Amino acid sequence: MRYKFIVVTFFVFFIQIPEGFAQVRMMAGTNYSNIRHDGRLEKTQGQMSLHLGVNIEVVPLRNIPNLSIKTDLLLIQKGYTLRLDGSRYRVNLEYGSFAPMVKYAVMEDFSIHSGVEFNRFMGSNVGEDVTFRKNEKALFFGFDLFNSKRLSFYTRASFGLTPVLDYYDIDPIEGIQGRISDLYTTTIMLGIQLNIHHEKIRF
Amino acid sequence: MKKSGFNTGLFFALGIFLSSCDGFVPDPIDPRLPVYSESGKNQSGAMINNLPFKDHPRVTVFGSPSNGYILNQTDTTLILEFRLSDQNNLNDVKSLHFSIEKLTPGDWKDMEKDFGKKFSFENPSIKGKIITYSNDGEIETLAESGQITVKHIPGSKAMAGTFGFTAQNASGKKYEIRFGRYDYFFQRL
Repeated sequence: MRYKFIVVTFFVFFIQIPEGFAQVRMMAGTNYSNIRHDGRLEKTQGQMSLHLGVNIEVVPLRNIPNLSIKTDLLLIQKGYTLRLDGSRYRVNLEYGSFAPMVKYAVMEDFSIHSGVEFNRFMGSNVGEDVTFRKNEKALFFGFDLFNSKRLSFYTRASFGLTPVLDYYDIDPIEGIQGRISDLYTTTIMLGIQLNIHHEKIRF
Repeated sequence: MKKSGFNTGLFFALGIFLSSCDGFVPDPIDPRLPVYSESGKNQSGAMINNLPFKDHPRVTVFGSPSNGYILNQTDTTLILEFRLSDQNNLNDVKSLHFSIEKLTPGDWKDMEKDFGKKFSFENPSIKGKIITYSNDGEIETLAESGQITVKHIPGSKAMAGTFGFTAQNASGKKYEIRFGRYDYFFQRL
């Protein structure tokens, strides 16, 4: 319910803008992800995966053209790789991501951005549906290159604010001791954006 | 009439596909073991002397046989047995057998609460053993210390829980069974 409220609020905000300079882009790239945890896991290492999506960017204030509001709609795979007994076990976490952000163009072809990801869990190759939380929030910041060109680049670092795992604290002999909430994602994204719509539009 | 090899090939491909369906759902913290679940997945697993052993449903053309069972002979006795194999050496099979006797109606109620009821092997009515197989036959080694927790979930017709114990046989061979978990279909008789 809270997520629906955020999405609706965001789009109501968008339609309040009488006239804006809007860009719509397709985006795709690779990401390196890992997790932070309370020492519950054996040795973990990051893993490479992919993301794909679209974004829309508007300049809401005509007198501050360098400041824009942008939101990404992404399919992204996060996760971690466990190393146990010399073998690697890859854990994939798939999310649908809604990521509103504020972006500021420092120069014509260089801008910085920061925002919050609202990630909806879509599936995993481990655990059960009840093992992973349905929603994750993450704070991110990054920068964009060659924004004014048809093809541009971006990179972003994202840090999970809420745990993704709801599971059991299992003692080797004594069994379940209680419930735990742990594992926070860390993701570094790198990708390209293709500008597919770029004009002054009336909402 | 010339026989078409296409249908035969398709049949074998389907057979291979079905026989390769693996119902193993890994644990997010230790993916060598099955995830702890309470939904009658017919799976179990444990680290036996630091090696992962497990039983999980494998869908084959002949069905999905389970290598574990839980039954109550009367309302006062519960028998659990899981036949686990080493994931790196499927010929290495070990069985874990538990018998819980003198159960009371209160025990059954406790088994439905929270994480279930814990039964310690220090109680003479509770027995656990590991059964190993060799050319000489079966060797049974009784649990010396440890516990088995039993959670009864009537809604999903399942019985799930955890176990862990240590055992040593007459020849001095030690067994450490750790991080044990099970989740099997169970219908109270």
